[in-house]
Amino acid sequence: MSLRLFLFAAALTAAAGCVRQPEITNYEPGPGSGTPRRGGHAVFVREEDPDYLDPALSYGTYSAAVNEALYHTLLDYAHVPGPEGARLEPDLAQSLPDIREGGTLYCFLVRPEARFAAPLRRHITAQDFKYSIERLFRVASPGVSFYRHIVGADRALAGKDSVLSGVIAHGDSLYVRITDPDPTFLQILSMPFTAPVPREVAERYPNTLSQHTVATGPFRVAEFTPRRRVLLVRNPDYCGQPAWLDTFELRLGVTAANAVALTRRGLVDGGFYEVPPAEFVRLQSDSAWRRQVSVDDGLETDYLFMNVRQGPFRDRRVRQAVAWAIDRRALLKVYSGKAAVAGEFCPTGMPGMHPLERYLGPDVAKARRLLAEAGYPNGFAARLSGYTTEPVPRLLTIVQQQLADVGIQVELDLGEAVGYTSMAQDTSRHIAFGYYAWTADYVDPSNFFDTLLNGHRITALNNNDLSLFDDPWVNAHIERAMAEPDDSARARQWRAVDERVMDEAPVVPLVHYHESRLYSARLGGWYRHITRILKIEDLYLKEPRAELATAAHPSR
Amino acid sequence: MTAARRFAQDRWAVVGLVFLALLALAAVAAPVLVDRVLHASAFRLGMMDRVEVGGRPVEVVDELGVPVGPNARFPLGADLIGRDVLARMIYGARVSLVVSTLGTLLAVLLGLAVGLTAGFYRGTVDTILSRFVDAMMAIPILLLAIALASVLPQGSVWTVVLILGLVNWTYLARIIRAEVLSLREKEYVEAARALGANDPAILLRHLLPNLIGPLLVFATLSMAGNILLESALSFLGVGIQPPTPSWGNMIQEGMAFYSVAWWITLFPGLAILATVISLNLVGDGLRDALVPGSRQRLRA
Amino acid sequence: MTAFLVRRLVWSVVVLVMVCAITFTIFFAVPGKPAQLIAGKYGTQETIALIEKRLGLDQPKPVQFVRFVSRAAVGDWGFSYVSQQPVLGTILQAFPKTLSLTLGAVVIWLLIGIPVGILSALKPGSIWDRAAMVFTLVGISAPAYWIGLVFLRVFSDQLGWFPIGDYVEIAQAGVLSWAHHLVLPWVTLALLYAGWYARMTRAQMLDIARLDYVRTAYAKGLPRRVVVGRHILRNAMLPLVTMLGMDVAYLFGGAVLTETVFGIPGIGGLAWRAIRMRDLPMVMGTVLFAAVFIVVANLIVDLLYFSLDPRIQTES
Repeated sequence: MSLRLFLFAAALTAAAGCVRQPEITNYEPGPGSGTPRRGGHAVFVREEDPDYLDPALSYGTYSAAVNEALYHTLLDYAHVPGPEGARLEPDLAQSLPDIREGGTLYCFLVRPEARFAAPLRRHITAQDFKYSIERLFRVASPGVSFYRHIVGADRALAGKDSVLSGVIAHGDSLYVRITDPDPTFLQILSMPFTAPVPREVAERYPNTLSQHTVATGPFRVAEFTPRRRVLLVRNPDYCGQPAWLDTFELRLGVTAANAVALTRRGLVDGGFYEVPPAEFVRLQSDSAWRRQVSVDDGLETDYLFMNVRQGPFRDRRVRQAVAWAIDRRALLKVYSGKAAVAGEFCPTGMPGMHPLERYLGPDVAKARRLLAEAGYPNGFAARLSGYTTEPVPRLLTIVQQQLADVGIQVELDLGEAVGYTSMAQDTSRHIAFGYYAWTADYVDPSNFFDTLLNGHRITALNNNDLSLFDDPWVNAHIERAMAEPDDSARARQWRAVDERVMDEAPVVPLVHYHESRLYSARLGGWYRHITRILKIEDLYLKEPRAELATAAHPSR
Repeated sequence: MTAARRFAQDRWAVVGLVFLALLALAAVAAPVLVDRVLHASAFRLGMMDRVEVGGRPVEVVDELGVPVGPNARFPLGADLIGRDVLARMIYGARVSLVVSTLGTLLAVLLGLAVGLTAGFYRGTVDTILSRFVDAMMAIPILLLAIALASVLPQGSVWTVVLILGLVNWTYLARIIRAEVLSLREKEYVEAARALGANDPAILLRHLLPNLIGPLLVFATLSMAGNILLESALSFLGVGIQPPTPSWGNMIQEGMAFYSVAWWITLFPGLAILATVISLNLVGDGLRDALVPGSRQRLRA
Repeated sequence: MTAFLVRRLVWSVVVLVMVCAITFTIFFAVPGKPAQLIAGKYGTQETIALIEKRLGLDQPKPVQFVRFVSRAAVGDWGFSYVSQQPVLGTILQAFPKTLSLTLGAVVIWLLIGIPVGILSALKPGSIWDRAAMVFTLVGISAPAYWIGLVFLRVFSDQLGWFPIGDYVEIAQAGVLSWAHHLVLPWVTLALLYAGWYARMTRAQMLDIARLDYVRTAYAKGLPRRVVVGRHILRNAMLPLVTMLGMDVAYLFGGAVLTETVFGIPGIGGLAWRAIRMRDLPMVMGTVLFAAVFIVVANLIVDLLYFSLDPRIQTES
């Protein structure tokens, strides 16, 4: 399309946009500044229903925002943008815990004002916390393996016990004992999995707690009509900082493209969806709307994994050749620029991590030389596994061509996204070469290195070390970093692990994905929290700009 | 007037046939056509290349992922990863036509087998087979196709062929069964049996020639339906997988960018439309020519 | 007659059970286990076993099948693996949306298709006929989702005449708003089917026009209008009604493509999502639901033909 035509179309669209939405210029752009005001009703949209409104069962970034608005637990992250947001603060607990016995005993005191929301409205005791942690094992929560270090968890996992001996409750005092010291345990305790659940309700509605929620956070559920909407109202029984909005509505069944159109028309304030690429392009060309799009580090790495025990990939030089063959700038285009080149494995948004700038190729000559040294002067053939949800097919097609340019003939094997993870995690499938994307479950590099590259964590099924990489140096340094109490020393150790991983190249990081969200002009208080989860309790509706609000506009 | 002559008199049917013949030719000659004549490639990615547009070099795919539109080097524009849309459409014709034809063939084989058996043997065999056909037809085609697609090996062209065949054969089975049942009653079948000819002989000699007509018509119309079904499956993401081009998956790939790169979706859509229209025209023409008494002709 | 009816009813039930069996078989050819998918990327062997137990997946397949059929017969269609909601309840909740889409489209395509067909048949070979033929040809040849997308982009996105997606209930937003949201999906669906009806109407009318009794009517001097109205049209209606019954029954099972493009939360979208997510109870539920309509429609058509054409009675 010629540039002139494009500009004309853009101008036309912008003009059409101006005529239809006078509202956007009524408000200060971006997330707003100044004092938030209390009150109002915000509308968000999402296509899929939240998987559950049950703190034990819900798992996944999109449902997390709603669940975190409903279910608060002992600790919470500081509600500020940037790395400061990784600081944990007491929420339903009176203070940060007393950590005793060499880091294996955590002692909490529950706040006397902590209460369950309506209809229960009773005080939350330590027993409620114990019940909900034990419940994780009983209902086979997807987060149960985070808590496997609690004393007694192994028995619970094997189904032999339904009570954890390592969790002790006396009135408002809660004690959690773990088998070995773990500096990340505080973060694991602050996941909504540990939010207290009242036994009397959970036992009455064992499978349908999502329809009978009892909140412990700044909001509670007023209505949850599946495939229609979730309506949250401010919870007056919450003992912490109250939410700004009166009510928050999450409308379900709205696709991303429609969501963008509705936002541009001022009918919707935001949503839990990725801005689709074409809409992103159009929004970027609109100077007013560009500032309503928030593009932030997604704490995600999209990478290729190579099975270090199979075929040519056993040789480190072959793996490095693959790394040198990739031209990541081409891949960025597939993401419409909403990504950053990954020259390291751990996302650079993790505290203490920064770009390592490795393998910034492509360097075809170097790749060919490495292949020749490894004994493959004419390359070799391989199969690259992936799945069919965009943009993976496009991504892998580009990778396929780039590898062909150095002599590696790759055949694409794309399957359904829904079954791909479990297939890749099944070591008996002997997948040699594939695509994987990992988003942080909690804000610590161990979620990447320990889960994905620690040889000691390889299992036959549900294995996340897809390369079957088992390097003693790396294993030892991962475990040492995880036990290191000093923050800056730990960060240094993780960086060293990252460098070594890039040297050995069991994985070729491609890009770090950036998430994009669109917000309406009147919505304030949205910011990028380090956990990537939107804090609904911090949202508010801005004051219209006085000068423009008084001018005559055609009514909407 | 022979059937062929009647067909030839139907101007539109002939136009459709000519179009299909040209399309088939292009599909068969795809590599030569694309490589030697157009000097293009359906598979080569031009993501980091530049082209001359309006006298200025422009990236084939820009930073935001938007490809360049129709110009001198890319007559129908480039797709999202810098491939030539026209070249891909020619290869796509190959895939779409082959898949639809094979799918139809499979449906014809299955439909014939079941229809003949049910119609000929009648009784319990007929009842069971007919109920099975009813059951298959009670499941909405698209749902059945999606369900099959999600359990069969993904991405294989043969999977799609299998699905198309498995989903379509029931219609033919019913038609064939009805034809067989009505033809059975005709005197010459009785006469042949009276003369001592055994069952397979009756079948072959008398029934099959009469079935050719409905069979051909079904095959043509089924091909039309298969092209639409394959594209629907690819649109939903369970049909032919990229990077193999098919018209359906080209539409699917370009769909997300329709508002900024309309050419990726429009041209394959038009190709599907033209092909299916041609198949329908030919099918109508065949029906008029072959099935006596069903003439709807009034195109002068 | 009653014997025929009873026999057909029994066979209908058999067909429905076969439908369940076919769907069940297809889904148990799945390599991955649903429990594994639900357990997610951190799932362990133990978690998967626990989930399987919770959902009853550890029983042998024939046992699961028999349990499903026996429960389904009394109205318990199980719970969705994904949403924990009762399957039948979710389907019934989604049905009014599909119903809205279907009925509106039916009205439009009948209003377009039949008059076009009649006009074509009355003036064969004329410019009207040719134009009508082109229109119907395009309608039956165009990919459904492609048309829907083009409409969406042009009429909703660029021109803003219609809202995008977001189905609204009559009860909550009023009839006008409900209809406004459905105009584009209605027109899209209608355009695809109108062509078939136009062609069928035209074909039927031309066929009947050549029959003896019609020619006799003309010979008797009856005006064209009367002949067409009383004899031709009435007899042309039967196959049309049959086709309509089958089409409506099919669409009650959910128009997946249209619902997906326009974001209508009907049964089509429900079924599609369920299949992709391997949500077996929901898949069985939606397929069974659709099949019931089709089987019932078949039954009604058979009864109709039976009462009209005695020859068919000997066939079964």
